[in-house]
Amino acid sequence: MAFKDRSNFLYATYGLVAILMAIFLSGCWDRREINELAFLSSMAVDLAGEQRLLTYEFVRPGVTGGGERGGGGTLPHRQATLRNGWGETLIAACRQITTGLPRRVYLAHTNAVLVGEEMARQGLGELLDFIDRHPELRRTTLILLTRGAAREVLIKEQGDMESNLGKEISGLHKWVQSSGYGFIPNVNDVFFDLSSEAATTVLPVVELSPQPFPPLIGTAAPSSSGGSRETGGTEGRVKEPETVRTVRLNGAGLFYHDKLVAWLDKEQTRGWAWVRNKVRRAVLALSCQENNTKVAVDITEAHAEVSIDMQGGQLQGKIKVKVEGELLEQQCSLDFTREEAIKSLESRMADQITAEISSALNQAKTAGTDVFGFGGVLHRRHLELWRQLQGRWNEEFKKLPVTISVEAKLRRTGMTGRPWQPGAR
Amino acid sequence: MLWLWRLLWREATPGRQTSNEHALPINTRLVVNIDYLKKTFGRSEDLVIREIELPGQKLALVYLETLIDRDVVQRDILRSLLALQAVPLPGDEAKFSRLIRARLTIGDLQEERLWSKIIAGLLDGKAVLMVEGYNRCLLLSIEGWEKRPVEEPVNEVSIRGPREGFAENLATNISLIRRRLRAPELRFEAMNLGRRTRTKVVICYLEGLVLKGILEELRRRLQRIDIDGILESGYIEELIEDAPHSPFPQLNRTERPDKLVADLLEGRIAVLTDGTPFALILPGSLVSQLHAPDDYYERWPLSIGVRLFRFLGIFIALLLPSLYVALTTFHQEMIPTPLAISIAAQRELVPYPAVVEALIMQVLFEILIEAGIRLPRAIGPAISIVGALVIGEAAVRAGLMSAAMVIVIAATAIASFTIPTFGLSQAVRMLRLPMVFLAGFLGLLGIFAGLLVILIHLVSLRSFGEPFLSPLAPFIWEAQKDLVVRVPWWAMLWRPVLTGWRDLRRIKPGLHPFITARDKNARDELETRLGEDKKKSVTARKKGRKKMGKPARKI
Repeated sequence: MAFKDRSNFLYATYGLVAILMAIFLSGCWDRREINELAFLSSMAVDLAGEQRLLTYEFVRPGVTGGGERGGGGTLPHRQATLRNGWGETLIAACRQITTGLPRRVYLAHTNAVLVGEEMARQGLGELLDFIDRHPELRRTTLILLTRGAAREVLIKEQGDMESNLGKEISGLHKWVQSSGYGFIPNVNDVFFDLSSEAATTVLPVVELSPQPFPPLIGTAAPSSSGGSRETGGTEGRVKEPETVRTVRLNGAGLFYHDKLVAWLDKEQTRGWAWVRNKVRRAVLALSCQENNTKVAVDITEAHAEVSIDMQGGQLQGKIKVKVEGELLEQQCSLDFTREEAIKSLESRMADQITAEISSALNQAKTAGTDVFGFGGVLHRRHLELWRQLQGRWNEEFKKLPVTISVEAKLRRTGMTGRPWQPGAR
Repeated sequence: MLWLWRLLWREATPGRQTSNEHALPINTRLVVNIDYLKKTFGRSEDLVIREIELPGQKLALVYLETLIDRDVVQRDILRSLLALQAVPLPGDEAKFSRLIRARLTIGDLQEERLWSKIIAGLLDGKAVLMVEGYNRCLLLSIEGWEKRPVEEPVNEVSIRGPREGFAENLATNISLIRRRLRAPELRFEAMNLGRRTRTKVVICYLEGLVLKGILEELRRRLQRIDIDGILESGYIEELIEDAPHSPFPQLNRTERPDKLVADLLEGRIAVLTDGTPFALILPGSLVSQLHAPDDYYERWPLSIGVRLFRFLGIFIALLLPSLYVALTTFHQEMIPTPLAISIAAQRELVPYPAVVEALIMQVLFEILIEAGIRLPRAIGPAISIVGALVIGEAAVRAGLMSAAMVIVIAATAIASFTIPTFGLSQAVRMLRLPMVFLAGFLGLLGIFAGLLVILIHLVSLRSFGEPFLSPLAPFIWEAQKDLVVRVPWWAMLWRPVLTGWRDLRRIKPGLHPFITARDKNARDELETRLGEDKKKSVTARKKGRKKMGKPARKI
């Protein structure tokens, strides 16, 4: 800050004046206070005729912050507010929402996007473009599919654990893989899948799942004020159970290019997930030999490989799956200290997984969507062949014979080896 | 703006030169001399002129009784002089002088004949012994005045380390240094600064280690000083520093003799000022202002951790409020979703934008600190209660502030006290306000612009020619051993290159407690010793087996 002579100091003074003027004469153009924002937590995208219909779920921070929760008997309330807007384009619909919102719409914290069936059938392209082009939306936003209109799920969901649907879905995203039945991709995954050779993707389906709200026995300390939901009012009587509408994942939709073409049910979704290495853990319920009783195996490791070969002028697809599991429970009394019992159980594990995979494979083949990535393997292994087949790959995939080989291992049988039987010490 | 410039930069008009009115020798007649002294000091209550008549000689003892040790006057001077009565006095001037010198039981005395020297001596607390008929007199060192005892330093507290701090008395301070550094190379160069205060200032360094150029420059800059008074080392600091407009203290200050000695051993120079416990150390550097003495006294791995937290602390102290403002008003997407929503919820009722909120809190907090310093001890606790209530609780309840802001400001305040030197922590505290302003105006862009300006300034700063960011900005690999990390002493082989290059070796290599392979002799010695131990242990075991074996077989 040392000025050698007078003129340097004058420059510095002018600079300072310029800075001061810049500060006081200009507005801070993109300054926005955090409490003047409406945080979007999730949104639903639907088609309504020619119009695009957007339904937004906003967090209500005032309620979230210091809200006192009611006593034990009250139903959980969703701490969010819903708005919708429509227009010929998505952004027009988005802007229409601002005509009725006292705060600035803020999309950067959006957790999830629900896509309605109709919209998905018409194509995800414009939605993906909207998300990717918007400066606030991120590619890490989770994306899901609904059967029917997406706004139905968004509006009817009541929430249970979390205060809004976006939070609920991002929680699901973390834990759903431990059942093997589902997964939730984010927008980036979808971009990645659709840009690959096969140009297919799978989106999970989210649906409402009404849960009975546990009845309470109203003997201890009946609240005098909370009479609105009480049916009888007399003490000691069990209140009638109510339902809370929460969401769950069930099945998935198959996309060819960006259009929805077919559905997978719950088991088929897991069949697909085995092949694409999306299963962290999974429970297999296998029947014991004699009767209707079951034995449950928990899969702890699963790894699959997809390959494709030319055999005698004929393309041959291969799916190899290696799984490891441990015994969790059995309703019969098999003795797992014997090797044959383990061997036979392992073969039944393999059978069930094979069945799940082939079911998913058949569904994909009928739809002509190569969601297992055979196209990608072919592109990497046999480039020339791929160049020939590229144009009609979905037709080729329908004809592709695929062998599925599953190698299952039972590693542990829990804390006890022998079956427990009453009276046998 | 221009008037400020004129105010700061108007050349100092050459002031009245140091008065030459006393540049005369004293008279041979005692009466004339006493008259002169009376006229010079006027009606000074504490001027004592004791006239003594010895047979054949007239003497006068003059001193300022507030500056001298009365016991010494009574016991050593007057008694010796009066004892002279019994002795026949020689008329010869030189012989008489020798006789007095032989009889006086005073350690330090010197002959002077110039009034300027004599008056300066009187003001230093010396007694003047004048003799009728002589054109020179004796200055006797009998200084003695009220002194504060050596106490623990107030501002530089350390957990481990000496509890002695400098006091106001220069002689005490010098003795504190001498006691720690028993090297004959230790030099104390004294000079008097201040036209009227004539404050004693001492330059202290180690001959053979100090860099000549810096020492010369320091002498030149000190001799240039011509000011009415020097009341504290801050006056000197301001008059000799390189960049007078910078907020950063370019000379290190310390109250601790141990720290000062450590700096002397690195080839630095200290400036001690009479009347203040604060010594200046130069050339200063930012990094050494972030080092605390405990770092070198405590176990080295822990010192690294402590230093890391301290370095983190300075960044928090400088940037946390501005980062909060920038993130909440410009970059909400960078805050994790749940936190963003909870901050938004807290701010629901706050009427101001976050910048204003932060600035208000900052200003309140700075005022609180300043008030805490100025407050009489007795009502000290009151202010903390009021501060805690006003800022912490009531402001949030009243909806003036958000709780998050209170947390941010509190964290900043705590972090700013991790900086060991007060001067630097003040600089950081004052730079925080413009940073908040920039953050509110331009967001992260503003913060980085501000940081860049600070960094450019720091890099360009020099302290007596040495770069202020020394081991960082001209990057010196060897010096990294004592920057963020502090390696153990046996690994810190070299002095800092910039100040200590005249004698770089600090410690003998190979002092690692597990003797390293580098020192062959030591290894050999160790091996022979280990070999003996082995033999001993083997024989011991054999003996033991015999002893244990026999009774076992018997049973």
